[in-house]
Amino acid sequence: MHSKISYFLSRIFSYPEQDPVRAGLTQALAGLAADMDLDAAPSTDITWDLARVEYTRLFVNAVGGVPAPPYASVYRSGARILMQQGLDEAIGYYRQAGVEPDSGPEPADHISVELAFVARLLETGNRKLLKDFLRDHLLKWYPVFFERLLAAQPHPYYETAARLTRLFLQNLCQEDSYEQTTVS
Amino acid sequence: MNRRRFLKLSAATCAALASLELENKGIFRPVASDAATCKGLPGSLGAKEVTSVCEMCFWRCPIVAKIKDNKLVKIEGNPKSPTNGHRVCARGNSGIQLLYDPDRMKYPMKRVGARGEGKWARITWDEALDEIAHNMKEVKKKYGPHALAMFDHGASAEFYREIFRATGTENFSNEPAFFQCLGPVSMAYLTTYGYQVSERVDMANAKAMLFFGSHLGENVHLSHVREYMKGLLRGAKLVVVDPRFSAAAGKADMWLPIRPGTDTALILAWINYVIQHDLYDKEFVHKHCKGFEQLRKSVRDCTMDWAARICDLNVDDMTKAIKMVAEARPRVSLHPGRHAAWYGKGDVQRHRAMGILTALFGSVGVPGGLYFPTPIHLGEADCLGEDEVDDLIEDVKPPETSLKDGYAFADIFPGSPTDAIIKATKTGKPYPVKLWGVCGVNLLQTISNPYQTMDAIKKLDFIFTIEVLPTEPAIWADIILPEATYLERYDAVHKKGNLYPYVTVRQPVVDPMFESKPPYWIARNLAKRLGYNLFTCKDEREFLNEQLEEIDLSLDKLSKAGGIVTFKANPYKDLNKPLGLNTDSGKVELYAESYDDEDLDPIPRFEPVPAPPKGYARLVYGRVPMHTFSRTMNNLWLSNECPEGKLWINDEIATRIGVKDGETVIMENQAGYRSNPVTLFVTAGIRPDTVYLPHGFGSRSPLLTKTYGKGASDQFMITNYRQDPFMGASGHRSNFVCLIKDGKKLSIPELRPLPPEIPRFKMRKAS
Amino acid sequence: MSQYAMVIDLDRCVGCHACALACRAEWNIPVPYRRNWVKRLGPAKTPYGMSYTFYPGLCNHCDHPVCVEVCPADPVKREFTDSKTGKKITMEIAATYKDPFTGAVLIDKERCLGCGSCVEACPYGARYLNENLDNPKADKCTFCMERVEHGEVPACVKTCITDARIFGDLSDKSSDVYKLVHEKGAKRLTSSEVNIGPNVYYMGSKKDLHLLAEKCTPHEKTWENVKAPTRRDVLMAAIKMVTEKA
Repeated sequence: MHSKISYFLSRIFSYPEQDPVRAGLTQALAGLAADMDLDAAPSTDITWDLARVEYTRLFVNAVGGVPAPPYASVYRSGARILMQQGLDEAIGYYRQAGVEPDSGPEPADHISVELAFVARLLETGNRKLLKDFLRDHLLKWYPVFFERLLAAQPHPYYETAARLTRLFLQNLCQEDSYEQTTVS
Repeated sequence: MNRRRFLKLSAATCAALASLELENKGIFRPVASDAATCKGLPGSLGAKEVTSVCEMCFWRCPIVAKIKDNKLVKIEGNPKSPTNGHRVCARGNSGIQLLYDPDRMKYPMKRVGARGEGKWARITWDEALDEIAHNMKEVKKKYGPHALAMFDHGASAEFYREIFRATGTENFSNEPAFFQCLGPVSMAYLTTYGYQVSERVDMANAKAMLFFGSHLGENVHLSHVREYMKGLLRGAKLVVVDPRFSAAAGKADMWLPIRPGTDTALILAWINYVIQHDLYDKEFVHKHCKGFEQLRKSVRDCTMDWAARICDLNVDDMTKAIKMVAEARPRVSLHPGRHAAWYGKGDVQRHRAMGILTALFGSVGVPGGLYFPTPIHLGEADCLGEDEVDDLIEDVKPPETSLKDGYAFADIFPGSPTDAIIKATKTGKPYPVKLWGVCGVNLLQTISNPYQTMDAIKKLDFIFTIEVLPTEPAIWADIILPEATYLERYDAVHKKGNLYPYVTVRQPVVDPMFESKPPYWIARNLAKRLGYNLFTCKDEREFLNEQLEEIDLSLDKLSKAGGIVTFKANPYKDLNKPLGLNTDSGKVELYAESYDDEDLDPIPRFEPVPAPPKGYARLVYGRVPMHTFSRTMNNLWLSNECPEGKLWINDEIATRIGVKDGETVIMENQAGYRSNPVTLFVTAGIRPDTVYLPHGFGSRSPLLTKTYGKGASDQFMITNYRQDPFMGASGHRSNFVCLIKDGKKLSIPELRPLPPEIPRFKMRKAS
Repeated sequence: MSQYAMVIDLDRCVGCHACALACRAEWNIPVPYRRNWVKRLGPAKTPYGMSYTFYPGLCNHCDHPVCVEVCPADPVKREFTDSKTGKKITMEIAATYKDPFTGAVLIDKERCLGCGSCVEACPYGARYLNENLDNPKADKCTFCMERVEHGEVPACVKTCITDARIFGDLSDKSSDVYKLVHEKGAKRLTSSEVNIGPNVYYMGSKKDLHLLAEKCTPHEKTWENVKAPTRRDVLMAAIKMVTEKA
């Protein structure tokens, strides 16, 4: 079920190609938030149009600049641009898992791709790689991205998704160290 | 939350997730066996190299891009290039920051809020192009073809231009870069010499150079700067006429800090002086020039004393300078200048005077002087559809009153004056303009009176922009199309017919990022929707090969030759033979009969421009070498190098009004418009009646995160301007500012007396 | 033994900043740090007339590098090989050291503790501590020795639009830099207080050199203010590095 959660978060952080309410995304989001004790504002009022405008403002192009560019490269090593160390790191991990990103319009260090990769590692049970990926890469930049996203006062739909992702990743990391200690 | 809790999801959530079909679909694929990484060698060493052409500015140096792991890691000059070799300037080095700028336009966008609010949603290319085509057709149907206008700049615009031309509008190529910049100098040299001299001045072989406001070094057109430097190193004398001590003045033998607006007086006095003192090339004038007698008579009252008073210069310095230059004849590089739109009125005549002085030195078609282009004739690519466009517009009637009316020579240039279109848009007169397409030009940061431009935009039915970065016009656009950067696309064949003629091509060094598209693709798909049978080649390679075939080249051949092929230059003329210029007389026209016919002075005359009103200084502006106009301010590296332009102010004035170097002030212009806060630079290197601000800062586009609000914009201080009567260029240097510090207005004292010949600008009573 | 050096000709320099950007691009130096810079000087009056010139600066790879002296990293033995003669020398070096064969002052990134002592010590401000890294490290110009080893010139030299930067071996009497320093009088930026043998030289007109010297000569012996990290600091940094690596 963990991999499902990660795929789900990956979906929310990609451009809304469907109505989030009708596609059941808001419902699943609310359920997850409740299950994980997350005090989240309801986000069922999000329309498809609103989701598209909000996603554009937060992650694509916006007045005031994109508040939270969703790419590792922007944050790692203070590069502030695309296609730098953050991307190299991500691709390095993908290759270690024997995969590479399918060419799409987005760079492969997009948060949505990285969450899909987490899902994949959970699916395949590659715990060691997951640990490294989270500790040395994703959780090195996600918190900064998160802060910048929240500072932009996103719609509760995206705020909840962001909080949920943070909680989920942190717990994955902790869970992993818990398992490590019990095994050794 | 404990671990158990984290694992435990409710049945309802599980069901909700299960219904979502969440899986790894089309995100990852197995790693290909050849996925080798290019690690090992440090820096750019060992990278794959792709040759191309820079477009960080419009000098367009040949470059080579260094690619590692499908990423651009470095840009260097193309070592095969006869002009720049392996060198690129600060901006050329920073192209990588444009390509990978997270602020760049990534997908087509549709405005969803009010115009100017900046609320957008990402849409598909189909939706975006359908919408543009629909609006173009609607506006044309309702108001006629001339209600469509296009403003462009840059290599990519060539394709879009054909589309607008096909609509039949007279407003299809209104390069603001021409009407705000080169227009007057082109006009003057076309009249005098019959060709677009532009910057074809052979500084490397000069024995003396004479600049009027040209600030090479701060203006970095790479090969041009190299030729200038070569000339200096070979011992050429340099005289710089500029109210400011520019980088060029720093290398000059003499700096003449002229009163702004009086250059023509100085040149006319110099023309008179060289005639009176036999310091001109009699043989050249006799053989190759027309109208010498009229010239001699016309300037005979322009004495050095007269000019000294007007220009606020010292007669001895003026004399020493002109002797220094004249002694070097004919190897004199009198730089024709760039950005000639200073005062509107009088700009063409100033450059005419420069061209005439050049002819008196015989500095034409000889080493060290003006030189002639070496034409390179490419084949016509049928698929671009130029003939089809001619057919399409065969029946289009010109408007009853053209926007070119009132400008005697506007007809010889394509498009209508920028200013005329903006005014027509705002007022609906002489005819309504209802749709703008904007490509690669920041209308608000380049055209006089941006407030008027914003008012005009509000009157439009539809405006779309084609952008790499979200500049000011994007905020106002209904649809924004994301264009591939110069590093991700092909453009037309790039040929340069100067001292080292060559042919090269721009080609993609990496694939276009996101959903940005190359201009040919955009133009082709828009033309299709408009029902125009243009751009029939399936891709850029096809038409490039058609163009190259004529000179026995192809893309493959070019590639094998290192991306560039050079030709022999033919810059000089045999002065024993007639020059055969493309002027009315075939000679150098010292006297321009065509002007006489239009009631314009056939020989330049000094017409004063108003001096600053009491308490104000004239605002002039120029370039910094790390930026191109207002285009590069959002480049992280360049912005770091030069985040804002400082306002230069004379040291004595600063002491008198009690401001210090590094302090922040606000400018207020003669009409009461106020600037963003700007940092002062106090220096002895500027006249007391003038302040200077590097152009392009103070962005008002909040979309440009790295430059928004940094520094002040000269453009937003330019609200008073006039049109040049020849071709409609707008002047940019007829505005005056006082300073505001801590809310207190500081009057600029007048330290240099104003002669009676020069009127003072009349302030309107504040309402 | 060689000593690489650079001569910058201010008569040629137009202040275009290409050098600073080529360096940034070649080594991907994150903003706002820099290894290589251009400072704009003037226009200002000098006894020789008005000057508007530039200070293109970089690490001076000094003869007596004070940054090397203050490095607290435990010394290790390292064998150096002269790429020309094959001659070998073994010497003890801290994390920053002066290469005995090229004269370049370099940093062993693996062993740099990130304490910042060398950054504080440099009177020219040529070093920075890259705090963007997960483990901060000192960084500075390497005279592009990595490129020089591969037969290339430094990135700043290659891009210089007016060929104002001349690079070469000062110990080689036939080199351009030797001639410019010993015959054309290219000057170092030194003062009576700070005279540690910089190997970047400047030449140009009297007025420009006057302004450069007036505005950019270091007078403060910054290295004397450097508080060496305590044994505890060093130990903690070493432990941190070891655990991060594990």
